[in-house]
Amino acid sequence: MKTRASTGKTRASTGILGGLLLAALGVAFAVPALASPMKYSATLVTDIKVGERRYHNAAVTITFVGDTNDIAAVVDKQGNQITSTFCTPGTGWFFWLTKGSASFSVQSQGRILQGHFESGQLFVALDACNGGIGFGSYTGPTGMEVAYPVAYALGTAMTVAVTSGLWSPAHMSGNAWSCIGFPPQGAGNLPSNNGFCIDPSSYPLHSDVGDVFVYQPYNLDNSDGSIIGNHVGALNRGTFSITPASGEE
Amino acid sequence: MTIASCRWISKIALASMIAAAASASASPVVYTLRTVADGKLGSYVFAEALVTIRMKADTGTVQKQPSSNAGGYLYTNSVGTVTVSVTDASGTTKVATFAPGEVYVRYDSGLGIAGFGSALSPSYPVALDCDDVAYPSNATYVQDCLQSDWAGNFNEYNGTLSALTDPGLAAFREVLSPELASLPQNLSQSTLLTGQAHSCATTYTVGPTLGFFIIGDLSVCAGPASRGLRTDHGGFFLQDQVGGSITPFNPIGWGGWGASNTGSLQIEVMTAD
Repeated sequence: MKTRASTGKTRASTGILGGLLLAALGVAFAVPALASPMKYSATLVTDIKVGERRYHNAAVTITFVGDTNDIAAVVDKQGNQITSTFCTPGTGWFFWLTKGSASFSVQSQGRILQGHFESGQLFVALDACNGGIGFGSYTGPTGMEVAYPVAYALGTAMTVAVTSGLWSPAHMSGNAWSCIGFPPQGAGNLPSNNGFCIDPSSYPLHSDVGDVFVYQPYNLDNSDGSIIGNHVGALNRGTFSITPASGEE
Repeated sequence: MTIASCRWISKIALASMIAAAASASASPVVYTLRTVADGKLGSYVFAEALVTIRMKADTGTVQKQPSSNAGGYLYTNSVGTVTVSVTDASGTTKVATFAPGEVYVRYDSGLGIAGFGSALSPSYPVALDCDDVAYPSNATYVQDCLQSDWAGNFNEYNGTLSALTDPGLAAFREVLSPELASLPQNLSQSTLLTGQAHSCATTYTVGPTLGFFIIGDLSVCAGPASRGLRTDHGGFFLQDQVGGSITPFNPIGWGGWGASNTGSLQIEVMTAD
């Protein structure tokens, strides 16, 4: 019988991929004394609305430039790190990078639209317990979304999330979620949204070229229209990259 | 004028009309496959790099024939310029252009497999949504990608390719979202085809199934292609070093092909505006 599962992951050592990269480049750093400007980029083909124009199956890239020294554990109101009930207590932390600048590009019909998000809306998100990585934002009905405008589950993105995380250069691929209300089926102590992602149309991300709305059109649903699972319900696929900001061309 | 000559002229006229109609309906199209992969371009070796293969073509040169799986079609387009872009973890990007005819875009809507093929293999350099289980059996597995994953792994859909193709969906009381259900299934209309990525000219090693739920006993690509695909920057090789080899990790044991690389093939027909 076909069944569906929900979520999971663990924290692992950081710097494995970065170590390989630095070795390949013949470079050694005294970790973590130096600042490490890093560029985080997500690319996927999806529906997006910018200003009054909606693009269908456009190639969308969202980029965030920050510094690995600013990556911080997500804490609750008492300042305690947030754990996941799916991981061994004391090891399953959530991390984010909130300081930085975010931009995007939309490629459609041979044209490229570029814009910059207003500051303080997006953050880079890492769930080192359950294997999620991508961009979250301060929007939605609760004021914080971990998988909107886009985050990844499963695939090699999951492996990077539980190993080198946000700290080291890497490219990865996985299931692309653009979901307000993630995880739709609930997980551990995270509440369910009755299996649905919330229509983003009421939650604009503001940019210098108009409000931005990212949609998630390609899902596998239950007969009531709810998404079948927190990992496998999204059938879109995309890539996520972490590269040294100094390496930009 | 004889009846025979009139028929001959009529055939010429008809052929001209068909050609004109085909020309009128043909449109520029761009096929873009994005994934992460391991390989080599000339002397440049890369691991887990962003790989983008892009073909600029015309819908008028799409070929169509029945799929080996009844009800679908095998679409190919081999006329156009194909480039490959590789970006490594340092952010360095290399771009090369394939020799004419070296690779072609391919979509088998009957099987639910799409990607770029070559003379080395119809599923190489990249195919999306191939079976992750050795097929027909461990002993007789000699060519990768003879069937798609939904046929060998009923447990899960690994992208839009499987979901659009599997006739058994209703048995699980699952439905496609309306936007997914309306995606065109050919190489002549704009669409999006996604799935797990196989990039192997030979065969994958066969081992135990790792992980759970998303199953498959194939591990990593066993060997390189017999030759590089010809580009203006030297031979291009892909050899998947991740595949289904990732050992499951806690807390719930995702791993194997659940932790493989994935890819998407974007088909964008260019409209007049």
